[in-house]
This record gives sequence, structure tokens and C-alpha cells, in this order.
Amino acid sequence: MTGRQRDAVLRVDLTAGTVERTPVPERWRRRYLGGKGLGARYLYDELDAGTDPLGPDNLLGLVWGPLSGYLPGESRLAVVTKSPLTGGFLDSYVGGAVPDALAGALPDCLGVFVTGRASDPTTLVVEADGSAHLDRADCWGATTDETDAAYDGAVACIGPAGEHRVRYATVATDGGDHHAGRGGVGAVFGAKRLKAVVARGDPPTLPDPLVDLQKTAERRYDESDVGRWQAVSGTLESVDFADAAGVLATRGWRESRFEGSEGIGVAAARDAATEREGDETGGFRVETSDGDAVPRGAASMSLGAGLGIDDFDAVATLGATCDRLGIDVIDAGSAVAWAVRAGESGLLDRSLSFGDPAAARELVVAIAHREGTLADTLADGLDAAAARYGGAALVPSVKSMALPAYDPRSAPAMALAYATSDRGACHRRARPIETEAFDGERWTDRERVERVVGAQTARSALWSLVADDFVGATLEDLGAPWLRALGGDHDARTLTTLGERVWTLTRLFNVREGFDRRDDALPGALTRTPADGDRALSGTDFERLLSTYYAVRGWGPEGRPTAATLERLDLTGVADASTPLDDHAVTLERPADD
Amino acid sequence: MELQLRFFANFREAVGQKTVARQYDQGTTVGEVLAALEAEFDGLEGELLDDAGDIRPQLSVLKNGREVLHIDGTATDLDEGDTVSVFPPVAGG
Repeated sequence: MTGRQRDAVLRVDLTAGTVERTPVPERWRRRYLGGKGLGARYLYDELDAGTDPLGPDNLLGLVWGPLSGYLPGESRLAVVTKSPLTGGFLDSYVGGAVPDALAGALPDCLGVFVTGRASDPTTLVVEADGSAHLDRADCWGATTDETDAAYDGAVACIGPAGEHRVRYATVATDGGDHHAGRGGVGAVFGAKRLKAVVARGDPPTLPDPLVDLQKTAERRYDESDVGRWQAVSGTLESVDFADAAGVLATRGWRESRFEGSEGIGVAAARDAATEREGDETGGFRVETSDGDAVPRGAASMSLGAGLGIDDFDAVATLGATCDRLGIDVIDAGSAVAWAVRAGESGLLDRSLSFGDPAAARELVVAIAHREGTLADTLADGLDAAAARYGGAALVPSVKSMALPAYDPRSAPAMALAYATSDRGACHRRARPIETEAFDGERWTDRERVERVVGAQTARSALWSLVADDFVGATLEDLGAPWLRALGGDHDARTLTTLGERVWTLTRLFNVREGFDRRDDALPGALTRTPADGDRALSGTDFERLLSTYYAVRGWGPEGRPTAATLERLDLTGVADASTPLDDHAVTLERPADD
Repeated sequence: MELQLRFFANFREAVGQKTVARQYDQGTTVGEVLAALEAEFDGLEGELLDDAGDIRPQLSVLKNGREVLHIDGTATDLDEGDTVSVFPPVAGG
């Protein structure tokens, strides 16, 4: 057997209270596969420019792919929508039990797309036999772990932050152990009064033709650099790396090393761990005063170093608070850091300090519930806070999304990765800093750009399958042999083109919303030298790097795709009349290896 | 002289702890320290230096936070109190 063909999606209209299956155009399945690609295609097709992300017309997708449940590593799905934080395309990924439970319950489907707004808090329930219905959600107001406990089955849900439409609210799975964290997918759930999606399917059964591929891929991953790092460190050793390399944004981006990093890194987590998960995640579980929690590198970096907190238990507790409220740890940490620095700068009439976990927690809880003017403003993001109070360059953001705590001031390719990321500042689409921090002094502009473009393109393909981040990086030919085993005809070249097509399609979405070169600008905070370093980025150098990026992408000087690039990527006819294109691509007058 | 030696990920696992202090003769180079570590820890044997005595590709070795390839490579001099950090390829997420 090769498994049932996935050729439909479940469509849910919360306003009408209806659930139905509709076919996915065969051309879309072939050219976008699933996950990010298919989600982007639906969003571009069905949304108009200017659609209110928190209005009933926004489209929300939970999209998996043709290899869901088959690939080694964690099964993940893409949550796609128009972001209430950036106003652009958003894809945010989550694992846990839900992806397999949905893919298993709906063997004919590639995703669930939700539109409208329910009159009352609602839960979408997908039964093991593929039937689906809407229930009234009686747990409105509950935290993510309480909501999870209220249902039988695998649960994706929001906490109070999503209900209050905090623009960086998450969608949590497994009671808050995992999150679709960035860009505010939880706020879109909340705006639609969708408290949870509950799935009761069994995981998909591995088709026979994939058995050997899976064994090979698992061995390949275990023996890879990625697998070896993840097996012993997970994401937690990122804080150790970033501190040692001098790329750890500390105390609101004032410094780039944290003297307390030892206390919040992997060794501290190991000491505190009460449970170790499988090697594929390298995860730990720890007890905190806010219940059990899974500590993550992003939390240690943005809630620990970023806020000057050097106590592992305090950081883990703050992370657990975010997990239960359903609020992104990176944006929440950045909001607190901004508030501290704004207070120090006299922009606020209250004073906060770095190194104060109780005050940080109090502000995070207030943000999640939009209690008070400051918290209510911060709940709309850093740019909203700066617009109201000033202090735009205190803490960096791209397209209103806060930067993760990998400080790119000595790593220009990482700055480019943040600036050109389709969903706003993201360290997952391309993370050149892991080598650039050590070796980057010798890189040319062209090398920096090609590393960023290559990673963005590859991940766009992998996230259309949908592959786990870490295992995906080690798949042969971007997973092409798996697709061929299921009857497809992809190879590494066609999947690379597919990745580029998807990345360009999300660019078209953002261009239609009015994004251009100015939205890819270097954040002002990155032009300031950290107090403990000697490197900052130059706006002029960055603009040259950005032009090189556009040239490699085949985009024009304003950062818009051209008709020729669309034709090369088989996107001709996709761009609608509301999407301006650039007339010509940037050309480089001389080799970019200056 | 005493050096602080820091290890990351699977190298940390091989050593059993993140940071160790070791005494070396004055004038010891980075290459000599790496060779000594390979001899001391079974899990590091063959992991740090290649057959020619160069730092293996993809590894990063820092002297006080700076990549030694940008200084003098394995010939980089070390002084009392220096910190040497040894990284496998980073894949931290």
C-alpha cells in the first residue's frame, strides 16, 4: 500500500457553523504539496489586501502534508494565517500529538481551514472516523494546560493571551509543552472565538514503501552533526553557544554576552530535569513553581539573558507562565525588556529593572490579560509601544516582530535573515549565525546572501512536506525519495524550485499588503555597538547586502518579484492585479564578492 | 599556566562537564592543548585534530571568544588564564 491520496481539505465556517470537505486543486497539490506552500496558496487566493487579521474574514489554516506521520522526528503542522502582529503572511509550526491525530483522523485531507467568527466560544472536534463538528467551549478563560485537560484527545488550544487577542499569542499543544509560537496565531483563534481544536485520530500507519526510507533517515539523522547536537543539547545549549560566541542579546540588547549564562543553560537544565524525553528532541522536563514545564533555548535567551535573570528556576517558571498563558516567549521577553529600557529612558512613568523575575512575570501576566494601558499597548507589539511612548530603537524588531536573542551585530547574514524573513524576525527560516559567529569575518556579501537564500528556500520546501526542523535538515534531497516512493516525481531540483516558488508566493502576499524594501530595513538598534563589544552594523553596508539578496532572488530594487521571476518559478498568472511587481530585477554591476 | 577549557554538546558529554581547568607549560599552543585533550578523554580521540594536526573541518575553537583560525590556528599562543572553547558544528535551534 502507498497510503490514501490526500486531496481534500476540511473547511469550517464558524459564522455559519458548518463543516465540509472540499477538494484541493490537483495543480496546487503538485506545485505546493502541503504545509507552508499549500497554506500560502490558499491565503493568497482567498484573502483580499487589507483584510483585518482579527476580523471574521481572515483565514486560518492548520495544514499538514503528504509525508505527515511518516517522517522521523516530531510530526508537525503549519498554522497559517494573516498575522495580527506583522500584517503579513504567517506560518507558525507546532508538534505534539495534534499533527498525527489530525492527519490520522483525516487520511484524505491536507489540512483544516477556518473562517468566520463563532457567536460563542467554540471547539472544533475531529473524531477518529474523520467526522467533525463544532461544540460550545465551556473552558473559555482557562489556561492552556487546563484546557488540554478538559478534553479527551489531542488538543491544540489557546490560553488567556489568545482570548485577549494579544498579537503574539500562541496556539499550544500537549497542554503547553509545544507552541505555534510566533506571529499571533493564538490571537486569530481568539478573535474567531475558537478555543481549541481536538483531534481523536490514531497516527497514520507507515506505508510499506517508506519503511526502509525511514530506517535510513533515522540512522542518517543520528549520525549527523544536527542529530548529535540535538541528542545531548536540544535547543537549550543555544544560550551557552550564543554567550561564548558573543552573540547573546543581553539586558535589552545593551550587551552581547551574559555573565549568568551558565546558570540558565544546558548544564543547569540537566541538574533540574525531572524527566528526559526521547533523543529526537533532546528535551527536558522540569518542575517550576508554576507547574511542570519544558525549558527551551528561546526562553533561556529571551526571558533569561534578555532580562538579566541568571537563575534557572526563575527563568523556567517565567517560561512556564508564558506557556500556560499561551504567549510567545520571545515577544513577551522583548516586551518586558523594552519596558525596562523605556523606563530607564524616562519614556514611562514606572520603573522596572533587569534581573527581577517577579516584576517580569507580573508584566507578562498583565500583557496576557491586557490589564492597564502599558500592558494593553505592549500586547499589540513593540512597534505599537514605540508609536505610543517613543523608544523605537531600544529593542529591535522586523515587521513588528521582536528579534530572537541571537544578536546579529557581528553577523550581517543573520541580520539579513531576520530582515528578509517573510513572517518578521525569525531565526528558524535561516540561521547562518551558527557558523557566521565563528567564521563569518571571511565571508563575502555573496556568501552571506547565498547562505540565507539557500536556507530559506530549503526550509520552504521542507515545511511543505511538513518535516521536523532538525530531522528535515538531514533528509536526502529535501525528502524527494519519500515523495517518489508515494508515486510523485520530485527530485532535489524540483523541490528547490518549489521552495523558491513558495518563498516568492509569501512575498507576493506581503507585497499585496503594501510591504516593500522599507519593511526589510535594518532595525536601528542594531546600528548601536553593544556595551561589551566593538561591532555594530552599518546601514549602508546592510543596504548593499539587501540589494545583493534581491538580485539573487530575482526581485527588483523595491523588493518586489518581477514578471520574469514569476515565470521562471511557474507562478505566471498567480499574482493578482492588487499585487505590484517590480519592472526589473536588481542586477549586480560587479561580482558581489567585494 | 592554568587554562580554562570549555566544551559544548557532544564534546561536553565526552568530557563529562562543561568546564575544566588544566595546567600547561608556558608557551603551549592551541594545537598542543587539543592533542592533550584527545589523549586524556577517550570520547575526544580523533575528534579534534585531523591526521595533519589541523583542527578538523566544521569545528570551532575559540581563544577568549575569538575563533583561532582568525589568529594563528593551531599555532595560536596561550597565556595564563585564557579560556579555550571547543565546539562541534552548532545545531541548536
